[in-house]
Amino acid sequence: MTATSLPYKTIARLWHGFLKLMGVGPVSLFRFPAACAIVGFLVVHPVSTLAFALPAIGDMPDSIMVQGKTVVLKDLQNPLRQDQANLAKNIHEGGAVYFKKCFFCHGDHLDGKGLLGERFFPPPADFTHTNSVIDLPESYAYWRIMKGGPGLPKKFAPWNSSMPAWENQLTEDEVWKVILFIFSRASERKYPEPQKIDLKPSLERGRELHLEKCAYCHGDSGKGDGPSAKYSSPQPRNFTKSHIKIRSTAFGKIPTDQDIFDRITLGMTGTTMPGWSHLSTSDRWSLVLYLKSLGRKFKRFEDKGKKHEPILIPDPPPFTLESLADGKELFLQNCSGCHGVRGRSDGASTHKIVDLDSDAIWPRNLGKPWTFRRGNSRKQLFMTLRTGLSTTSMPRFSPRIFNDQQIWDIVNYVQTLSPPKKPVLKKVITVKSIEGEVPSTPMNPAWRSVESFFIPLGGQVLDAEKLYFPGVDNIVVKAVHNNDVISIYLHWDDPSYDPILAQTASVEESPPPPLPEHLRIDEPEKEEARKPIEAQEFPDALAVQFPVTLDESGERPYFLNGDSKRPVNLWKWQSHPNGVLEMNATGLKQWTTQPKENHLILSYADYRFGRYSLVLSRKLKTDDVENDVQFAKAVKIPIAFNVWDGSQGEEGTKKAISSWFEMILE
Amino acid sequence: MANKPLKPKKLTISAMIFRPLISTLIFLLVPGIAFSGSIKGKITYSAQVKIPKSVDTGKYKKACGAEVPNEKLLVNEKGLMNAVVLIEGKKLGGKPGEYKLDQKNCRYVPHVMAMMKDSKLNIHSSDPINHNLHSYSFDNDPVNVMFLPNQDDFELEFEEPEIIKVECDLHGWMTAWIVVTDNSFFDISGQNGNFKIPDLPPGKYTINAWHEVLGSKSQTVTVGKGETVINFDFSDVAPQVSKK
Repeated sequence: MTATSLPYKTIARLWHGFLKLMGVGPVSLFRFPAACAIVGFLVVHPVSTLAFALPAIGDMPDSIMVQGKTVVLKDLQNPLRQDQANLAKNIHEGGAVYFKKCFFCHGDHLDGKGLLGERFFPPPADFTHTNSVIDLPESYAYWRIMKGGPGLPKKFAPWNSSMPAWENQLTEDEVWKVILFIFSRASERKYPEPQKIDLKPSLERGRELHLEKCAYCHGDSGKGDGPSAKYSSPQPRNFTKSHIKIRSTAFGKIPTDQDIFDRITLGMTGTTMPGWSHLSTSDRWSLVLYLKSLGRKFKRFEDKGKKHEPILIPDPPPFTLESLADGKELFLQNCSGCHGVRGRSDGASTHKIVDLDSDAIWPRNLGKPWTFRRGNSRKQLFMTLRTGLSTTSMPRFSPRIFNDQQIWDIVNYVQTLSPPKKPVLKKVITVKSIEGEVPSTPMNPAWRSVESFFIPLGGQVLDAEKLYFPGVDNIVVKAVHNNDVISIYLHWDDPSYDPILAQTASVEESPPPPLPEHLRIDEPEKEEARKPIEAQEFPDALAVQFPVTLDESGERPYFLNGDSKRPVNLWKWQSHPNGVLEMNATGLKQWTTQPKENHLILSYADYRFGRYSLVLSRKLKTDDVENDVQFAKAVKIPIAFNVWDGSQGEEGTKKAISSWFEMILE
Repeated sequence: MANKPLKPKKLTISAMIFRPLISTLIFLLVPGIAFSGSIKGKITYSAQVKIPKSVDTGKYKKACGAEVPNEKLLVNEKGLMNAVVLIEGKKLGGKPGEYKLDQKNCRYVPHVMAMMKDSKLNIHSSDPINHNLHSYSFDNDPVNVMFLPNQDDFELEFEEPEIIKVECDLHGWMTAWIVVTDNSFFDISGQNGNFKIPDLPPGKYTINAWHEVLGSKSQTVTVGKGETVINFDFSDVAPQVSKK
């Protein structure tokens, strides 16, 4: 997020907080630009270190081969550009392509901040700022789309880019249309027309904006059935039913106008719905008017003279350990049934409420507050508990059930289930040097003093068969070595484990919420009541990927499982049969397993309360230098990860993937 | 006091015209008092199907009782129970009512309810453990409320006709159905599949029978004075789990 997309209020609040912290008195407004600069620097800086410079126009080849024919790029024009009569139609059709294929990474706003924008690096191109493709000839965009990351010149490290080569996935016509769309939409953002300041909100303006901005996802008639709907999870809201997930009113009640306005402004964190704070206030109110007109409920509400009963948030009481303890008990009694005892959405009843086909998605993993739709502040959590989330299984806890203090108790406990901030992305994983034996199991306390590295994962959206919404969106890695053996610790949250793992590994499931003592029964579960343990159709799996050989020039295999010239070595752990396969690959689909007698990696896995933990260890050097990665100290060794959530049907190319990271042995 | 001999009243012209008119109006407007029909019938299901097993409550034995009957498909001597029979049409009107739904021994009592729109529903929990009542409604406001033991009842009102599934997210076997109708002319088939809809003004109607796993069937019927018999047979339908 850059400073420009942070709402003014947030920036002001941060600045006020900062000054308060520094003991500085009241803030005058003219200090605001300085605040912007500081916040902007802090927010932008970590990203800019990973930024990617677009190749210059001079880096573009003279000609490329596309579907068997040579296309000369010099002087190549967009053939649809001159067709003025159909220009609007072609732009619109290009939008439909964009909102099926491109928006995951490049974002609804074409600013590179799509849902997967932060999962891969180099980050996706931002079309709305300096160095945008829209300032270059359209033939340049044609080249970049057709050839993608793999077609980049060497100095731009084509092996790192997650931009697919679209030449075999889109028709030439679709490519030209999507270029029309990108040029038209991005220039609106890059070179905005001055806004008329006191334009009054109107239904007509709302309709116009809806068709232009919202319909690609929410559909022309607002039924949530736009071209991108199939590529969205959760799916876009159907406005004709008037249910809005995030409100200040009770579960199932219609939202206030301000609720709708706030949702348009802020978006839905962790979904394909971005915030629209760059639209003028008047435009956003026009959208509110229009969205309300799509369902019957708002009018009926007004006709009956009803009044909203928004829920108010009292001032939070101070945090106490007593409140935390009470909160834990309340959480186990009332929340763990779905969220699980550690908050990793693995509750005993969770399987009952999740049905991905009908858009009933997993309850939030409370260890990942950066995916909370409303936000993770105490007040926001209070609001979610008091109002529930309409259209989901998250109920509301009204004052009929819990008093304010009890809600704060739960809030206090929930906040302890996660790190205070989203872990910062570090591209280099330090492999700590230790004395003596390396820890070979996940529960070994030696891991506690080893630094954790957060690895974001995105769906494999590059080539068929694709996976848009993987079950696992990040892993955590630690690594140590003792000059002889390297040991890699990995954990990832998966609310549904492969049941057969219980036969070969230690498994602990979230128990159902405790019953009052007098209602408990001591007898063991009846044998017949237990289902026979069967393996999942597809195992849960994780693969660690290394280049087979380390190239001193810095060239690497393609991040997506290598290429024909540069194979990768993969250590693939599977839940069934529980163990590691040593594999090699020269591409997404070109995988081979090494003969069993060559397998040298030891693995130890367990599953506890919604989380897989795994340790893989191997000697730094092996005899098979042709196929196995060889570790050396003080050298940057590329490392990447693939994860499959078998219970969601993930297998083969349908998997979560990471960009290349680097590992350095101390 | 002696009764006066009744003297025939002299009918005025106006009375001669208005009295029959008024009685005709009463007759037309107040069904049941003057002249109305009724529909009765039986819903049958004779296909051979496995009777769904009752649910073993496992560790909830003390809280719920060892078993909870499975009420998805109840057939007694070919009579299908818990089918909702209703007459289509908003104009028929009627009076919304007040209804009660209990959560007792980890089941919803009753399992199937029907009520006219704008009726009030009072939800109670008699159980010593938590329940959460989650309604899958789209035209009405959906409900998702927790019930802790000894908690206040929860009142709600349905404004739109809709078939609503109710579930407890904590106890998988708990399901109920609420059929919200346009008018008050409906019934739920009893143990032997019998139903009766009384006090129906004469006319031509569409009558629907709906069952949670067998779906719905519809017929047209002309109701006159007295009883009209309409039967529904679902034997040709295979049971299916209804979608949310």
